[in-house]
Amino acid sequence: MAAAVLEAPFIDTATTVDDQTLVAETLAGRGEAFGTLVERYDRAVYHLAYRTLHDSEEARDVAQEAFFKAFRSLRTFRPGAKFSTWIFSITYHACCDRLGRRKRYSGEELPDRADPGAGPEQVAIAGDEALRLRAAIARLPEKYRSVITLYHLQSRQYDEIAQVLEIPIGTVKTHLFRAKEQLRRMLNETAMGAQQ
Amino acid sequence: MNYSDSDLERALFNLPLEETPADMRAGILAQTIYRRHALPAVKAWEAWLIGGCLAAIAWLVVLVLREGSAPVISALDTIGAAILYVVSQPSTVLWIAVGGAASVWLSHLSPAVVRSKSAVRS
Repeated sequence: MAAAVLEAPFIDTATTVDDQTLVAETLAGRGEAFGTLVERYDRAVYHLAYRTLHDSEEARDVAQEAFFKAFRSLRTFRPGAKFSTWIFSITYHACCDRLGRRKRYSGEELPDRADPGAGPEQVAIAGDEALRLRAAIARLPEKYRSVITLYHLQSRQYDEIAQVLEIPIGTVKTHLFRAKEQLRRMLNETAMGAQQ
Repeated sequence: MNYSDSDLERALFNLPLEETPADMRAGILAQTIYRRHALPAVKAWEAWLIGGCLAAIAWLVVLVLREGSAPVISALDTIGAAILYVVSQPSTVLWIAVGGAASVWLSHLSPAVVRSKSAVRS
C-alpha cells in the first residue's frame, strides 16, 4: 500500500458534510467518507485517551482500536445519534478496560493520577498557563479528569458527557464542579508559588 | 493571578488538544478503509439467512410447479400445526420463560452495566 494513498487528504468534504451523511456514505461503500470522520475526530479521540491513560503509546493504541471498532460496527450506529459521542464512548470504554488491566496486573489500587507530570517548581518556573493547566488536570482523580476532558471536547454538553461516561447528568455536574474547584485551587497555589 | 470561574473556563477552552503521533492517522486508515474486505456488504449470518430464504422460496416454487398447490397447502398446514403444538405445551412455555429470565439476569452482569452502576454509586 503506497504511503501516498494513506496520506491522501479528505479535506474537500471535511467542513461541509455532517457526520450522519459521512456514516451513511461509508456504509454505502464510500471509504473516503470514513477517512473524513477520522480526520475530524482522531485528535480529539487521542486527546481523551491520553488524558485518561497518561501514556502516549497506550493512547495511540486506544485511538486506533476505537476507530477500528467504530468502523466494524458502523451498522449499529443509531441514526440521529452524534458520532462524536459514540466514538468518545468507545474510546472511554477502551481506556477503562486498559485501566482495569493495569489494576489487575499490578494487584494494587489504581492511583488517582497515573502520571504526576511536571512538579510545581518546574511548572511555576515555566510560567506557561497551558502547561500549568495540563499539569493541574493530570493531578486530578481519574473520574474528574475524564469529565473535564469531555467538557472541553463536547463543548459543555452535559447530556453527551453523561452518555459517554454512562453516569447521570447530576453526577456529571457534581464531578465537574469538584474538578473545577480542585483545578482552581491548584492553579492558584502554583501562581502564588511562582510569585514568591 | 487569582483564578475565577470564568478565568478557568477561558483557560480550559484555550487549551490546545494533544498532538497526535505522526503516523497514527495513517495507521487508522490502514486498519479500516484501506484494509482489504474490511467492511463486507453482508455479515456471514446475514448471508446464511438470505441463502436459507432463497432456498425455501426455490423449493416452494419447484413444488408448486411440479405438484400443484395442494401439497404446498398441506405442508404449510403440517408445519403450522407442529408449531402450534410445540408452543401450546406448558413445558415449552416454562423453558422459554426460564431462558428469558436467565438472559435478562445475565445482561445485568455485563461489564458495561456493572461499570455504570459502580460509577453511579461513586
